Amino acid sequence: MKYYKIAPRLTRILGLEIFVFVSFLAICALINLIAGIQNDSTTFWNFIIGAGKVVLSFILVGIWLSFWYYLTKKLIKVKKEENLPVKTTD
Amino acid sequence: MVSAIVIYITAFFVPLLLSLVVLPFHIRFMKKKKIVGTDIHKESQPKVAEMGGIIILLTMIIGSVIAIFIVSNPSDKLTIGIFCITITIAGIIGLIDDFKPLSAIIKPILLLFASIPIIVSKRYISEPMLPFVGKMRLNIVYLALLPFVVSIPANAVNMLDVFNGSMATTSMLVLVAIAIASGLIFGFNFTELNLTYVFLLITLGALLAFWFFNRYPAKVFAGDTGSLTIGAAIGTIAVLGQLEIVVIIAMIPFIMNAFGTLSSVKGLVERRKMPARPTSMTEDWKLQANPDPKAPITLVGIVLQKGPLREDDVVKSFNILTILSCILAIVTAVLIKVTIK
Repeated sequence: MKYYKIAPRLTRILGLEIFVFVSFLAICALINLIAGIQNDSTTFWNFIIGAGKVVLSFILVGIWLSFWYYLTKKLIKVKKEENLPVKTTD
Repeated sequence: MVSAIVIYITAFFVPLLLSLVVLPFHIRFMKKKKIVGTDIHKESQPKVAEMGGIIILLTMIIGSVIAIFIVSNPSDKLTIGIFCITITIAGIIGLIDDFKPLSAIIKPILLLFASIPIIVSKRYISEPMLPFVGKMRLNIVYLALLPFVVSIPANAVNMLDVFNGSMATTSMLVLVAIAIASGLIFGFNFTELNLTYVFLLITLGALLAFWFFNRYPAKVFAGDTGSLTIGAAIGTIAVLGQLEIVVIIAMIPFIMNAFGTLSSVKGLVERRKMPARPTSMTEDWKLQANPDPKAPITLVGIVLQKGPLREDDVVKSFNILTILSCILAIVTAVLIKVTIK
């Protein structure tokens, strides 16, 4: 089968790929905003704010990964109604 | 002093030509020794030579060693050595797995050790580049994540090595995208030596020759030696080439495949110990998603949602998904370049 004939079968998964990418860019834009938060002049608060920025960024990346995982899980629910004769393989 | 172009040509053609020459002998030897696997996706159930990955690993090691000899800068020699040692550790773990299957938990844990050469040699810059953000200084966090840079891509590539040519074509696409992304971010200056290109060309050379024998209908299988070596090479290139984010985006289909497996079998389960196989064959020998509720649902399950496909068409589907992720990786590189300018 030619590539252009296969591509329409993959619209949902191609859409998910694009969504994952766009949401990643959105996360990057948010991290950029977080990185722009002004640091404090005292050493202690400087450290706390710096650490807070890293933690917040990682929470955002965690949310992005979890959402990606959740969407993939939703997508893989195969329609079970097709009952074609089967030979189980790898 | 050998020019950069000569080093690039050597890095590509040594593994390519060596693999092209040695693989036919390897196939004959494996068939003679009855070290063969059944290609279960074909009606004739042909016997196919196993462990072609050994040739991938050996030719990549030879390519790296030759590169060490012809590169003049001692620091570059050491970096190539680190690349070579890392893929060798991953390849040996794959080799052990091919002979005596390791459990689904032990294998990723063992692969964590493959990152040790990178960590010990400090051949990394703990500043991954993000679009809009630029360089992020992570230091301790980066160090904590480093053990996973070989283990995760190696396992992800291994999980996609299920059909004739699927691992080779998708990995080659990822490598080409990394090469373009590296050029976009750091400049396409081929007169100066860029080690990322040396690693990419060594891997591409070995993989291209292997693909020639592994494409549909396959004459040789890679085994875990091959897939873990290639995955480890991709992970190492990501770190040594400062292309972590680009590689993650390029590997979206690999990650989705891993996510699918993890979510449907609820954790790490060795392929041979899964309660049911992810796919089954129709009467006209097309692949379909296995209707068994216990069957893990991988990327191929998603691809087959709209009906059965021939094996080579499933591989084409993987290629389409990887081409899109590679385009997105190149867009990421452009955005990174614009940000750090």
